[in-house]
Amino acid sequence: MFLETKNNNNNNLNNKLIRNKIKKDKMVSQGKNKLIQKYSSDFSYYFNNQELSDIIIQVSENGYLDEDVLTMKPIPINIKNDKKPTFEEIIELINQRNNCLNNSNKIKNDETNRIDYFYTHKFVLSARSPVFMKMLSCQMMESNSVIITSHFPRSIFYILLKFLYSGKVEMNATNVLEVLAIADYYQLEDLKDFCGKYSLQTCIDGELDICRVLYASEQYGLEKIKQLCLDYISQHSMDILLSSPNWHLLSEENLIEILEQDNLRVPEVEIFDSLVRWAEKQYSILLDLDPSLGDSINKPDFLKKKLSKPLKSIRFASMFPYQLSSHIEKTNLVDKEILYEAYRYCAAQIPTSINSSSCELRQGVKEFTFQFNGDTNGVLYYFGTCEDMEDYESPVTRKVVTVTSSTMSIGYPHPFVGRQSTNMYTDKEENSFFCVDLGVKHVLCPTYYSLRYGGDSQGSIYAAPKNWQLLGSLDGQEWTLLRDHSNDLSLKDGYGIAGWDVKSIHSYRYLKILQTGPNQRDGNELCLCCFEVYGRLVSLEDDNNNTTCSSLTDGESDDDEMKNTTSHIDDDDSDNEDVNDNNNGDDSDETNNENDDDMDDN
Amino acid sequence: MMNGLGRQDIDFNTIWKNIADQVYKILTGSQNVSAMFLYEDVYKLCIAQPQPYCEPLYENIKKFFEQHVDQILLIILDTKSDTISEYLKQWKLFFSGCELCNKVIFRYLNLNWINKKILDKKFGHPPDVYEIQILGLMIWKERLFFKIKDRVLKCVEILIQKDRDGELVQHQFISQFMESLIKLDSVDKDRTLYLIEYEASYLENTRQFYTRESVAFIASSGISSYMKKAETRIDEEEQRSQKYLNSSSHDKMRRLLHSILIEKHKELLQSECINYLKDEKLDEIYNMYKLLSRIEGGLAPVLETVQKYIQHVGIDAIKSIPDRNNPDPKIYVETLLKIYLQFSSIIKKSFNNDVSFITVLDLACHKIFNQNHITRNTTKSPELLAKYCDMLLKKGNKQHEEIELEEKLGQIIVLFKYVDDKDVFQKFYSKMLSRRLINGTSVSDDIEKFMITGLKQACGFEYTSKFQRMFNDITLSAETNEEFKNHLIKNSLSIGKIDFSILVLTSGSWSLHSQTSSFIVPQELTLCISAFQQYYSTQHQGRKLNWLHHLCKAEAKSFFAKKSYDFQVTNFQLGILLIFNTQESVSLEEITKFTNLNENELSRTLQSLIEAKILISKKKDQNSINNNNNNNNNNNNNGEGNNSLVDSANNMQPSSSSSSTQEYTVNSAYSNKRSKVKVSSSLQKETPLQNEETYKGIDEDRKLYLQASIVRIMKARKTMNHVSLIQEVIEHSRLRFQPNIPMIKKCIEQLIEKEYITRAEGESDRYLYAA
Repeated sequence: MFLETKNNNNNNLNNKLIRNKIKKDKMVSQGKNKLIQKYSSDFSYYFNNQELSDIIIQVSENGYLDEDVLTMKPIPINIKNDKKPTFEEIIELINQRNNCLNNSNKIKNDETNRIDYFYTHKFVLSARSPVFMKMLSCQMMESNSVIITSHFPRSIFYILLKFLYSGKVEMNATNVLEVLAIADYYQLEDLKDFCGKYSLQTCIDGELDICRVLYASEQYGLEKIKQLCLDYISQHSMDILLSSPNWHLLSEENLIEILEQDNLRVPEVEIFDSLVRWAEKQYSILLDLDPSLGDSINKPDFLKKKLSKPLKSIRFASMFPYQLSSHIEKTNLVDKEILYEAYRYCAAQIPTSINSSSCELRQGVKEFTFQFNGDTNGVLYYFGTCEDMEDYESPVTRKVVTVTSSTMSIGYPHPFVGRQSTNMYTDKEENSFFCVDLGVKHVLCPTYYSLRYGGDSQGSIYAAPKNWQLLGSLDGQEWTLLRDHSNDLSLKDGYGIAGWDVKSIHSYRYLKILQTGPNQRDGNELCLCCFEVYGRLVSLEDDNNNTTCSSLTDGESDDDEMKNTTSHIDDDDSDNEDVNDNNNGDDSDETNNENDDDMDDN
Repeated sequence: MMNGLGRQDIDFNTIWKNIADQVYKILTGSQNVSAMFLYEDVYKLCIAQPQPYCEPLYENIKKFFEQHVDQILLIILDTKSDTISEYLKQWKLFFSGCELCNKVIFRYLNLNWINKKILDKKFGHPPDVYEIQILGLMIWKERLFFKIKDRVLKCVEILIQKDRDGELVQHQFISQFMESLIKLDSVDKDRTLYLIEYEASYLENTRQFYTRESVAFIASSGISSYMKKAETRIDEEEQRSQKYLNSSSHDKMRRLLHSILIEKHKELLQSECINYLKDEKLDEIYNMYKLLSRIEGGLAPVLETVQKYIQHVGIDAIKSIPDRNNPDPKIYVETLLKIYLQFSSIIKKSFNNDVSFITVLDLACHKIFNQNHITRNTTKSPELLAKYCDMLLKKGNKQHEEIELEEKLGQIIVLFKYVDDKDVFQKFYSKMLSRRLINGTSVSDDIEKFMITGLKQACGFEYTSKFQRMFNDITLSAETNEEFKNHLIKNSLSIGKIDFSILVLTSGSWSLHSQTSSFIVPQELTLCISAFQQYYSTQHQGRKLNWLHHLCKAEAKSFFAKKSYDFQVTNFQLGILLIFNTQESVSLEEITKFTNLNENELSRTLQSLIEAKILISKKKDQNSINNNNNNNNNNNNNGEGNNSLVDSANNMQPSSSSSSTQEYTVNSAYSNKRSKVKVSSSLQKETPLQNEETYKGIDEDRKLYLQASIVRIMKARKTMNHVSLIQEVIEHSRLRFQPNIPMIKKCIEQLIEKEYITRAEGESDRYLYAA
């Protein structure tokens, strides 16, 4: 007890002296920190430290090429005069050997592939990694060697070594999957789990592609992360299926699992398109590997073979007949038997046998069917009543839908989606338009739409449009012609209403009425109101149990969660900064004071 | 670029060739192989894109192992002289190589592909993919071991035989072979190699060897030497099992040896027991005990033999005690003790203090103590034991030191546990303890307490509660005397020049005879008694004091002889002697008038004084003239300081009464070497009459106890038939004494008369609880 007390006193005294020096100089040598570091609970002090080091690990900046592997063997150094050689001697010997090899193999020792060395300790490596433990303790060459080689890039191996010695890890979106690879190589389960979670979080932040994480989690056996990736893809499937640059990395099994999801919130035609994109990407990669294969493998045959199994997961019978005939059949990739079954179901509801769920709509898909002009079956009326739960109010007022237009001459563009006849028209400009934005959470495959003439019977007679188009777009930039009206005189009387069917293949977020010629009075003003549209509406997010207003609230909550996540990341950084200041619990107060001082200095 | 997500150009055949070359080096014991590069090669094959090469790699490993094992088989078959040595050498290399491959080189393949394959298999289906080490062992077993199994097993069998014959053999060959079988069994749930091929053969050879050896040895060397030999062989085989058999087989081996070496000869061993006991061959007994204790039921006949022998020896020893009707307690108890110690020592040395044999000794001693020819149909044993205790505990017995006394008393307590009628012991011990405490003749209070503690541990608190209370009374009496003296000083009271001391004894705790006559206290003591009585009544109201003068004693200083003497006398004797302070001679009638003793008591008291020559008895004659002698008589019989000189010449008057009256006078010619004289009292001698009274008291106590038991039982049961009631009463009183059935019947009749219980109507053998 007396000795213990004495030691504590000495410890405190030394710590105070050293802290005073730290405050004065703001920089101390490694030797003076020795007493503090020896009381740490981890091995950070020994990281890349020659003290007690008994093995050197050789790495290069980019990792060795395969040609170098055969010549880079561990060197068992013969001990002369029973004297252990110093590290300088070892490194000099290695450099000599490398120079000889470089000369003989004519390999350039570029600055970009610089060789570096880490001083390591066998007991730390063995305690932390089962692979190192087996290698360094079995009857193999490594157990008698003072230097071994790792063929991971230096930066990645540095991260691994830091983790082995301190338990801390520094990663970002660009290297997390490489760290996962090295963790899998050296079988560090904790680090693998951490990488998996970190990469998933990075996907949520939008810095990493979910398909790459799914691919890596499957390759390295992270089952939980894999399941979370699949769930994430199902929840955010529209963007991923249509635009992910690594969509091709999915295996066929994973792809089928995704396509089988009933809550895959993507229109069926878009699902088919993404599947075709997946197969085409595979073909292009194959050509990259071996360009000569293009002569022996026919692309259509390759695509058919590649798609034969996943296509069974597409619900063709739930598509419209014109989608089948003008889009699906044109690709010539689907078996005719499947197509004939789909046609038969659309015509006469004969059940399908190939895929029993082929005729069922997926979750999140709501169909709006036209009955008569001015009815309450439209999408905009649905938005106006908060999805049939409240009395009607303009969807613009409810902030669900946004309406833009060319310059207005009289009034504002909002009544364009209202239900009250309103006297409104644009300036007399060519290509006048009204545009409806359904919001980020919805896409619509329109089947029918109606319009009302915006002029009353006395003031604006004969100004009804007769030349216009209905356009659709996903991003508001590229537009697809859905219906073209030329010399159409359906709208004639004051506040007259008319409707037209639409055979749209795809689904759209934006719908635009674009004037393409003079109106019935040979003017260029566009006089329209009470736009309504019918078709299949797909909710891109899971809000079955929530109203549109609640969805907005959920969005705000998501923002808060993002902020919390960012704060958490900052905490991790703080922990990393504390690595060098770890001390015994007895000095916790002084440590905190020191941290406060550091924060003040920062 | 080592990146798992990148594209890898893999030439499977080139990498596999490198792996195969290195694995061959490992399997042949080379140390110059790099683990890291091999691990990396396997890693690259496992993560190759677009298709990993896990399955081709596994198939190639399998084929490689098969070819390698086939080569080893050829090498072993080419060895003609030393098959087992070559086999073990190759096995060691192969096994350690497999271990390295499993843990280091193909670790990634095991974890990432083979384990998944195994898990993907449906439950219940045999797997077709194994970890690398298991794969290697299976190939070794099927392609090598099964082909040379008989040959190798034969070699091992020969080695074991040589070892048993005392030849020098390579022990590690056998143990390493056994371990290799266990490792090969680890890949198969049946474990057939070790259990069927090796263990069964080993046990059968052992059986044959020792069956033959044991029979031959007994025939040639006799049973005594055989016991030593068997013990040695069992130890040898125990050590051999540690080396040659797995721990799961040790019990089987042990049972086999016990069966062959002991079970088959146990009748012969057991029959020798009686001879060893008679000849006191302790070593042989110990050897026999060790052997027979190894088998189940082996010691049962020995237990019976030992018990009979102890009983026989004990009863014979007691028969040799003289004076069967009235034996010396010391001789009797020490004979019993000698028997107990003798056989206790034998059991400790030869039977390893076995609990079974201690029980046998208890049973035999119990029989000896309660049913020998001295105690025939009587309860002599506890009586003699109590008397022997009294001998040891009395003062004046200077034969023993205190430590020795404690040891002897401890031994007596051991014997006490074997006594049936413990209430008899209690009665006698209580009576003698009373006498020792009242007379102050105990050796030491500590020794007395030591004895009581031992009895308490043997029979419980209730058995010794009376003894405890007796000691308590003695302690309280000392305090009372101290307080009484302070009381006298404080109140300026005087009781004369007598040193007066009282013992206050609780009624019911002491075994005391009541006073048989009304004794008139001498006048000198009346003052003391009145003072104490008055004091005590003020301290404890409601308490009544009964004076037991026949138990009192006094010390009187006399001046009638040439020198003064201190006489230690009883109260009765004191009463008689004090008469002579006032009279020169007294007649019998006068003594009776003064003391009021009955004729019997008076006669005994006077006789003790005459025998001590303090008094002289003579007949008075008409013509006797003693005038001159009386003038010279100094008749001071009072306490210290009193010198009442009586001039007898003036009081001399010739008597004209009856001429045949006895007259008593002090003996002025009395002389004794010692100045302190203890006048013996007949009360201190045990008389046959008092002995009979003690036994009557015991019978009375037993009846009370039985009646209390019967009432307690009937109160609990309400109704009970005759036989069950008697059975239960015997059960209740067994710990105190062995009741006889006539006594129980008598108690039942008495309780019926007192209306505690009644007979059931119409059933003459059933009783009902009535109170």
